[in-house]
Amino acid sequence: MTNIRSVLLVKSFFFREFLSFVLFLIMATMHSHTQEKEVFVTGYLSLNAEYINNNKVFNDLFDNNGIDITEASVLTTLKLNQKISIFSVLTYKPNIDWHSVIAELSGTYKFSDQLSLKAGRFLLPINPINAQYYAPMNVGIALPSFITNHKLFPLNMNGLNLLGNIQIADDIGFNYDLIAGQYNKIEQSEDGVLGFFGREGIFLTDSVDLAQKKIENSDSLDQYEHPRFWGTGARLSFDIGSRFNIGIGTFYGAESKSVVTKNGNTYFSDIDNFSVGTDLLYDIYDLSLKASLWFGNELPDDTTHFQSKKYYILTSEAAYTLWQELTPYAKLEIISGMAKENRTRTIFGVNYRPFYEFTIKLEHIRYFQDQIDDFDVFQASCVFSF
Amino acid sequence: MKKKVLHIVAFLTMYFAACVISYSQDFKVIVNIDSQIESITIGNISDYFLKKKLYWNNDMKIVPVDQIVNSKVRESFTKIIHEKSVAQIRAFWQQSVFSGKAVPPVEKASDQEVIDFVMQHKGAIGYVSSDANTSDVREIKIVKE
Repeated sequence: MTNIRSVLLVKSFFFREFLSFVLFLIMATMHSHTQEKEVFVTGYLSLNAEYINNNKVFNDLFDNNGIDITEASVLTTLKLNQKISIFSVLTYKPNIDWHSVIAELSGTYKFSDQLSLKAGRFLLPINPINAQYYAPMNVGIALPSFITNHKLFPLNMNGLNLLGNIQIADDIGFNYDLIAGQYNKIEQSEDGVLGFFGREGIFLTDSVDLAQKKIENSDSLDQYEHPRFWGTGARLSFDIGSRFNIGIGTFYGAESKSVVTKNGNTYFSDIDNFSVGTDLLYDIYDLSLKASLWFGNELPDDTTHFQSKKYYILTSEAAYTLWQELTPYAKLEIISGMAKENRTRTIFGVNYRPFYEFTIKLEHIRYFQDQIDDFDVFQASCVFSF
Repeated sequence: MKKKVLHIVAFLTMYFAACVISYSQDFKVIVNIDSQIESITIGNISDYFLKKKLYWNNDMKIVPVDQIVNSKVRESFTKIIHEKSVAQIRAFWQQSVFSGKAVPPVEKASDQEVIDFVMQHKGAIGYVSSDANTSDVREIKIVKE
């Protein structure tokens, strides 16, 4: 029965997304006969190599090195006229389900610079770090913890986004984004060649049995039935000149079902997620500084078998471009209080882009976790852009 | 030994002089003939081409028009106006597009195509080689900030 339901769900999703694409193509064709339209296509392919050093538990359960195509994306922007545009990003990653290949597919109607309405699937605009989901947006290789390691907000959503920009002084702009809709996944996401990123929480102690158990008893229904949950959020930000941006964001997601097994019994509960945070971006000539701090709160209905969790994530990044090609960078990320996990990771790397079409990145990550020895991850990446 | 050092110094001086000369301005910035603009700062031109500023002072929409990526004039324009390489500017646009902020300006394959585009669009701004005939458009003076 469950299998039939799953198949039906898969079919209905496929049908809906296929229909969206057909609609997109029909609209594009219709307009191509009537108006001058602008089309912009870009994309990239990323080949990564990974090596995880000195994590005994990980080495017992998985290979500690590998090489693979970790990402390939094609972005198409179609501007049908001054008011209507259609935006799509198809992204392949080895560890995502096929629904997630359509990372974004949306249409925007621009009433004015101060007011636009976007409908479809889009990356959540409540934190600019979400955009680092795409390799060219990320100076480094590993995805920020805001994307792989938290339940603060989902990566993307199917729904509506009301957005705009209001110039309040010569050098001060005010931006707003209001969103509402449904999302499929707010859980940690596997990423990378070995599927290690996003699952660091499994390797919290030196116990292989415990890690194995955590893998088998995942605490989420997300991966079973591709559920959908309602959520809403907002971001308000200010541009000061063209070099400084400060923003605040919030997200509320209702009824993300969770399951837990205790003493052989299985318990289910709805868990609401509420988060709020702020971000800063400072760009001056060849120096770029970014920082983001978010607080999350999980509120279960069943407080007997589920715990209310409070946690925060801090990320910061500094990058400096030398000779217009070489960008050394450093990042610091701290996750605290999430399921009694405290994790810090430092990232150092270099990004070399001698010409637009080719980027090479080298990266070292050092993990500091509570109950196991510190360990390292080494990564290399070649990104081909077009 | 002294002679060798002198040779190296002379070589380096000539090399840097050549670099400076090769990036001297060999383009003209043009706007529509009806525009009232007389002069413009380098910073403003950069902001207009990167779509950081969207409107002229008279509230008309700015429509920048670029040259294709492998043209000499674009290389020179990018070095002087943006103080970056063409690859860096393309990377900037790739990031803008992926974040859904903006798409790059329209690109044209020759000076004449740029001039034609600027003639047809009231709010347009473009650049052409310094030897191009710009009698149908208005050439504006670039001033330092």
